[in-house]
Amino acid sequence: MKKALLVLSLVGALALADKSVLKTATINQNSYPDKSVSELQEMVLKKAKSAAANEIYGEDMSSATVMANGRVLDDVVKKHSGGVIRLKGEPKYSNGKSFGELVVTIEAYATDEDIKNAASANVSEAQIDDADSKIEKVKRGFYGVWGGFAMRNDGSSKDVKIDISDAGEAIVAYPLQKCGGDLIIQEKGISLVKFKEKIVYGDSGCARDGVVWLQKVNDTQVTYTQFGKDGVELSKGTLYRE
Amino acid sequence: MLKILFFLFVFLLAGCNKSPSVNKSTVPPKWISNPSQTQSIGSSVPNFQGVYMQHMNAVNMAKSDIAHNVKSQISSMLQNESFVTSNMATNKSKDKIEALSNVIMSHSYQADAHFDDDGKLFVLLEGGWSSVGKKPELLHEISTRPFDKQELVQSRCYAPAVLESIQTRSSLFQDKPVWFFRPKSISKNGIVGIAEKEEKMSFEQQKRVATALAQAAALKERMLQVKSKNELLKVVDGDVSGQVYESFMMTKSASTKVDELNIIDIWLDPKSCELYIYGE
Repeated sequence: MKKALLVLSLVGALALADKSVLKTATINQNSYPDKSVSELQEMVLKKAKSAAANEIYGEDMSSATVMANGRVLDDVVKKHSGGVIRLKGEPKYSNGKSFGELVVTIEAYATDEDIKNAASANVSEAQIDDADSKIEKVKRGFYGVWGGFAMRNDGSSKDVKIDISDAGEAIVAYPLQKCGGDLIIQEKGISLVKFKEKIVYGDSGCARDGVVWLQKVNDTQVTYTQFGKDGVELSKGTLYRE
Repeated sequence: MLKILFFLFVFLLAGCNKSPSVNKSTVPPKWISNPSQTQSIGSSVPNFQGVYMQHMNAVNMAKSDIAHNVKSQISSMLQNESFVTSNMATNKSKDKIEALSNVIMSHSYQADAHFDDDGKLFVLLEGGWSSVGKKPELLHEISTRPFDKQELVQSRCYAPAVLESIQTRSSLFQDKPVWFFRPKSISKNGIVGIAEKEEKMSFEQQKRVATALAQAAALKERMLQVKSKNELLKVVDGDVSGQVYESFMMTKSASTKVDELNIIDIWLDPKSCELYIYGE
């Protein structure tokens, strides 16, 4: 019975023993010509400690991505390895096999308490801050009322007003020329949208059956370009969000 | 003086990076135009952010496609308006179709990839649900060339000693290691991580980023929440019509323990200095 108790207590003591690892890390001094020896030693020691932490505590990883219209807007990879790393003795530095290599060997350990603490620490998932608003921004990129002036290729100017609704309907007005109509979407990218222009009211002074491009400059500014039926540029200007 | 300038000119020319003279035009694989039911294809044009982003765009597009094949909630809204003016009848209509998908995707992996002559990347994804346990489709044969160390040494991505230390074992197809296209062909757990070279970044730092990205890719293959929304808007205004298609997607993996990556091979692109890590 005493022997059984002794065996049990030995097993128990082993299970609660500190976790210890021997780690060797190498760094190539040629890659860091501007670093001093002590800085290099610090870097390689950090690398060895990081490797020890990975082995003792394991690594948690998570990833998140936001994409709009075939383009990645944000991609986050989060890697976490927790816990306190303690060293037994001094780090041993030596030269590696290849020229310029600096090697360090450490004996690192964590106590049972350290491991328990690390396990209870909360590890959050990778989060993309305001992912929904990033998508919303792309979706609503061109929505709103835009106004400004455009220069025609004969040197005269005209005022332009474009209203793009949340539902994707767009209308254009040229107040000075007293004409306007609908803009029918043809292509929409993150920074460029192309419309066919259908003038439905006003006199013959308005170009008909043209194409309008809006190129995003920033959130409050777009470049307006109007092309005729034959693809010739008729007018160009800057519109501002109203 | 002229002689010195001449020698200097010759010296500079000799140091210029020689682009590998490879015929990039290859026959596109059949899966691009005819994927099977358990496959999905994503594509992406080249972009200035490098192959990592181009690849991610294509893979995510394929994943969104798989998600919609599995489960998709479709809603449609049609608005029609007809009116008569003094001398003509006009019809205006707007048709909006929305498809929403929110699924947990597991065991989806890249089976093959291909660059077309314009540099557009096509990625073939297998798996998801229906193909679990099924034998993968047979892939076509590709003609490869051996890795040439000289191309890398001349690249000036890093100091010559660092470049000399990079030993790529894989042969190249379309100027990239074969495992970039077919990561499961060498190891069934094979995975690729690509890291671009940023200013003042050391080779070791770049390698760490590529390794972490490979681990993240492995994580995404195992289990991934995919939320995706596709919208199609058709507008008719008399004799003028137009339509616009938009897609939005969010993916999220669980936070889990990852194993250390066992690096099988490594390749540094001599043109872009992007580092490719292949591991399991």
